[in-house]
Amino acid sequence: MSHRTIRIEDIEPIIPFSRGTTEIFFTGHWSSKKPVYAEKTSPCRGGCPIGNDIARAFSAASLGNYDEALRIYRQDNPLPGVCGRVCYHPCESECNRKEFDEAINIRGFERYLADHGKVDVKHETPARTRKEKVAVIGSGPAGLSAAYHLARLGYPVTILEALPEAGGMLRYGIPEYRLPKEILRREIGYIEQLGAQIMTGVRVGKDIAFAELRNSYQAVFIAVGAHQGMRLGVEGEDLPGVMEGIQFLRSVNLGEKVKVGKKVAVVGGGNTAIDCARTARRIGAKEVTIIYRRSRREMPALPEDVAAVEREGIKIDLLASPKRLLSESGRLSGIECLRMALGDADESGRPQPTPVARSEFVVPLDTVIAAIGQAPDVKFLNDLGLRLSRRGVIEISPESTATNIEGIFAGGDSAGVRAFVADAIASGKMGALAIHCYLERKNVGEEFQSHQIGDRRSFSFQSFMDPDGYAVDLKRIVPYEKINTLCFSHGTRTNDSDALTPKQSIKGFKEVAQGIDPSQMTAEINRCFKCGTCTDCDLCFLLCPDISLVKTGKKGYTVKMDYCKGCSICATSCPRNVIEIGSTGASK
Amino acid sequence: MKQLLQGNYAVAEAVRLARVQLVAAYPITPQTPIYEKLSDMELEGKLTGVMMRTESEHSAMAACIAASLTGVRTFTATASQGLALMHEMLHFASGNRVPIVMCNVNRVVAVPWAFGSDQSDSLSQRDTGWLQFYCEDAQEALDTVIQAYKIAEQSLFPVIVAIDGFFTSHFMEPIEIPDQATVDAFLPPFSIPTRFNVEDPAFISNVVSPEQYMVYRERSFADMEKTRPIIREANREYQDIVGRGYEVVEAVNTDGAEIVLVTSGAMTSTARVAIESLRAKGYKAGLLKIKAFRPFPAEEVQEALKSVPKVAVLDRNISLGKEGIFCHELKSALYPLERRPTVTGYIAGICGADVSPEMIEDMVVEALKRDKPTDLPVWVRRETWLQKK
Amino acid sequence: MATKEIETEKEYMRSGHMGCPGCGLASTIRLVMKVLGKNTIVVMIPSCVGPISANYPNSVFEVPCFHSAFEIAAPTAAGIANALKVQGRDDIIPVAFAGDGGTFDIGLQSLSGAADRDDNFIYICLDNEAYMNTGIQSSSSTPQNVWTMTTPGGRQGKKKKFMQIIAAHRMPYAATASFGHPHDLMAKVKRAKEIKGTRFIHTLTPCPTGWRMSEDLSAKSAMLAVETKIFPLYEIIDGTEYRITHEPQGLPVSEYTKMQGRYRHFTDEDVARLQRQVDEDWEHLVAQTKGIC
Repeated sequence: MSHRTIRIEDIEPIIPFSRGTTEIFFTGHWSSKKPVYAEKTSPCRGGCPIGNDIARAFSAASLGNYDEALRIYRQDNPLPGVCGRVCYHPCESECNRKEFDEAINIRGFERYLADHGKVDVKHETPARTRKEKVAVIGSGPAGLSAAYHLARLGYPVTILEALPEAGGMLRYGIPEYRLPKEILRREIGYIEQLGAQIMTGVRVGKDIAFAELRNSYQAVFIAVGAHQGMRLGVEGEDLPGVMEGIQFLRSVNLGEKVKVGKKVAVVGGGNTAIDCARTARRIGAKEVTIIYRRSRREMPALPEDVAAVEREGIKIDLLASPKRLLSESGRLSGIECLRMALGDADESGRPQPTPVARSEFVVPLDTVIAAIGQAPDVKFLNDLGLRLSRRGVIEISPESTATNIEGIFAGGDSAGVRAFVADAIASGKMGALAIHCYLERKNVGEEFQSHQIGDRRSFSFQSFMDPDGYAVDLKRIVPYEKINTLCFSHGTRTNDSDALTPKQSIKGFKEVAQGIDPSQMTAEINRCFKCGTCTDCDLCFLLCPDISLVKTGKKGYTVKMDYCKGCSICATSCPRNVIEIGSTGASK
Repeated sequence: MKQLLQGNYAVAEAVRLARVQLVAAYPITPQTPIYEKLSDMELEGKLTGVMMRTESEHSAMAACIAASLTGVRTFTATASQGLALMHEMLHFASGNRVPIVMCNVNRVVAVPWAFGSDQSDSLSQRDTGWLQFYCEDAQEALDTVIQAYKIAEQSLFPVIVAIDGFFTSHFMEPIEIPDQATVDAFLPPFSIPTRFNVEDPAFISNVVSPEQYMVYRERSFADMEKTRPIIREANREYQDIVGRGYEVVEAVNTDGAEIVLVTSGAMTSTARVAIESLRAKGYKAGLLKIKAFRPFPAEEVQEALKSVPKVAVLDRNISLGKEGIFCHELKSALYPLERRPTVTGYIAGICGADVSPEMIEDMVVEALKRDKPTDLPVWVRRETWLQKK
Repeated sequence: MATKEIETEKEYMRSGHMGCPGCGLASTIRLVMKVLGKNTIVVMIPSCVGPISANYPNSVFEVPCFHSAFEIAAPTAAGIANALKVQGRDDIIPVAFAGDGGTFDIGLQSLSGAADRDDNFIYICLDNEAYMNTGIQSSSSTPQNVWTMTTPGGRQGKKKKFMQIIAAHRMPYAATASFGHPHDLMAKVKRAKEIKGTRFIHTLTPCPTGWRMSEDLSAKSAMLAVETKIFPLYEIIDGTEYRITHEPQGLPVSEYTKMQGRYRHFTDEDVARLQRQVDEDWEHLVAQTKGIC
């Protein structure tokens, strides 16, 4: 018998054998709705005066790329190592994560990057050098920031610093145990490597005439700070043993031999007061008391710094205001204070303290340090011909940092900017933009608005430098409701830890805080929502029922319009509000 | 050399000789000895394939279909309720055109509950697209199972080999078991390619449109017609190699007969005795054994009965509202004849009830007296037959 | 469970299928296929996999696929597996895709048989909690009091605790998974792939059409089912060793029910009852992970 060999070709016609592809069905026609990838802005960035691109830096770090994360920070901020230590972290107050469990330790992250990431200055150096030269007077955070951003734009910049070392308040106002000089020097070093020239020990008006500066430089940025301590204005202020806070800190930072008595009182509630108290403790005071006229809640110092003070055995006497200083045989012997009560809010928004009648009490002591505020050197500013405001600071246009003199711009404490490091850096950055626009004859207001973060006073320098390459919607800040919290697990915030016990820390000026424990860094990075930033997490790609999202190979995804049914799972599920739904208008 | 074996064991031997690669089964009386024997063979290493002890006949058939699609030779055996439970899968098997061979040990279908032989279980699977062969004895069962593989694998249709419960399945008979080499010479290894080729993937048996469905059905119908020569050829070849064979119908003394008795299955043996006796008494009686039910051997039946004036059909089954199923099929096969015989249907031996040669003789004699055909069958039970006597 | 390494570009399921927009089942199949890869034979049965897998002459899969019958997903895969064993092709894995009806109801017996034999295949239950392909009829997987077309007043029965049935079979590997947690799902498929025997993965596959919710919510509802502990993610090894693979947030069940129209008639009392049930089940599961139960 002839045995027929059955082949697959014999079977194919007799039962359904389907070899065609469903890809002939263009299900994309079912709907005109299609996903659009639109990176947005994180609220922490909105909260940051400098406008640090925090979420994007976290995203880079989450992929293990810490150098890139640091590079992202340095787009806006030349001093991450400084800010990572001393910033008042308004970013954390706006962190979406705080609605979920606790805010991310953003400052600790910034410090970690600055301490562990590698800076590639060569890569940051501009391709061309411009011909217009810019001078910056003062090397504090505002001056350094202005110089840094101007250098990035290609301007030859010269910083003139009156003191022997650059850094301004960072160098002479903040003690070593909070900001090691080495960190500051390193970050200033990067600014110099970028091309900014720093001349120290040069006092304008003495070593070089202001007029000469104006002739040699096409623009000047003044950021001379506020180094004049304010007086208590009470009886006995001129007694020996009475010191002014900022002067006290500067002397210690200069390495001068400064002596305090056994019992020290520091008047004031800001960071200068805190630093004075902790410094006094370190140079021999046995008993230190901080006297502050409002309650703890109103203290301008950071809560963590106030806590550090108490750990080091420093007392805080709240709702107390000095009435007069007492003396015994020509020497300071005590401070008589009045108890205060808090009333309605004053113009600073804080409750106004008013003295309680007949509440006088005496704190015995041998040293008083007044740390109730600082002001710029008005005489110096007047000599330059600058118009000053009623508060005794340089009057500037808030939009452009321009002063009354053409080509002269100002920022930082000397221009009345909020006395925090981050705000000073922000004002320097704004000054750089303003000077650039001035030299390029551009409208600084328009430029600013194009790169403004939300409706805040900050802008993205990266967007300004590379408007086409930086595809982030700066105007839209991601609210908590837009975060898909189902994609995250609850976790505990990792706080900075101390390297020293309080007992060890008061023995010297070694840095106390050590930031986030490196073993906890990944956990903290993973806690961050990275609001508005595509992290290539692949969730959209993996969820798509129609296999309509394709990885582009580098970063992000493209939509296969032919097949996407517009279900919008990707947009609704995106953990960080990157995807939204648009319309192709191509529906049948 | 012959061995004394019950029919169920003969079937198991055939499965072994056919080198079946996958057996899936579930126990049911009177099929169980097949399942047990195959299990013994597996333990002894005589069965080369895999045994799947499924939790139902339905799953047994599902597994056979899937395995067959994957490209291996499969076997199952069942009866009665088990076959009824398989019903859905029977359509599924033929629709998928898989060459499964199944032995059905005919047994009544409940209710009432009973266990005796009755062809209704397999005959009611008439329209599932399976080939059906009814065997007279254990030897034929063994030979038919082996032949069935050849037929199934050449035609891509599944085959039921039916044997009568307890009579054929359990009676000991001397059986000639061919040696392996002989069977191998007849039945080559399973060679139908897998439908699931990971190198050349396709979606098998997915949904089709009404128009396409009809195309497949028409094609299957045509292919079923093409099994006729395949069955014939397989038998001829088997006869050449093994020395035995079975036509789709077997006509005994039909030439010049005034009456022919038509039978199927085990009752044929009894009928042979009855016909011999009638012929000895002077009746011109012949016998037509129908082996193939699907495809129905209409031409062969016509050829055998075209000159016969009277026909009696003996059915061990009943289709309520009509008549015995073989009788009904036979009548419709005779319809194209110019001179159609007068056909009388007899229902006997339901549930294995006793049918003696004498009872059959009386049926034939009674049928010979009839001049008109009738639609209604004549029920013959031993009790009523004795009363009539 | 990090699964970045299995997220290759390669897909074994194609676009252009007829699944409803937002179909959680389609996504689940696709993720499973991504892990199983080329040497896979798909067994599907009447279910929503039907319209997704396509009519003649097309296929949604880039691997062989067979459209089997409703109640025989498991024995079909088992038959293929045994045939492959005979052929010495153990490198090819049959995978059965069946819905909740095909698993909890009509296919339960045959799945049980195959699991008892420990036939070598992977079974993926795509649970959308009703007969969705036929138009939202109640199954024994439909949660209690939930609306379907055949339970217009809310379903009487309680959803079967199916994983307990599975555990009772002592399968080498069983797990629950959700496409809302794709990495977890893929890791489980990968683990299943590396084990021999009958492996079972119970996936919850939200159906926007049948659950009466907006189609964009299917993934979110899948995530919520997990985070409310309604559908916890865990594994069972050899039917005895329980392991929770994702610690749920423990959100209130109302977060899940309020987004779906099939729960619209739920009173506060109904929600509270569901919450109690979910809490009890969770405690039981946690006890099982500690070997207490």
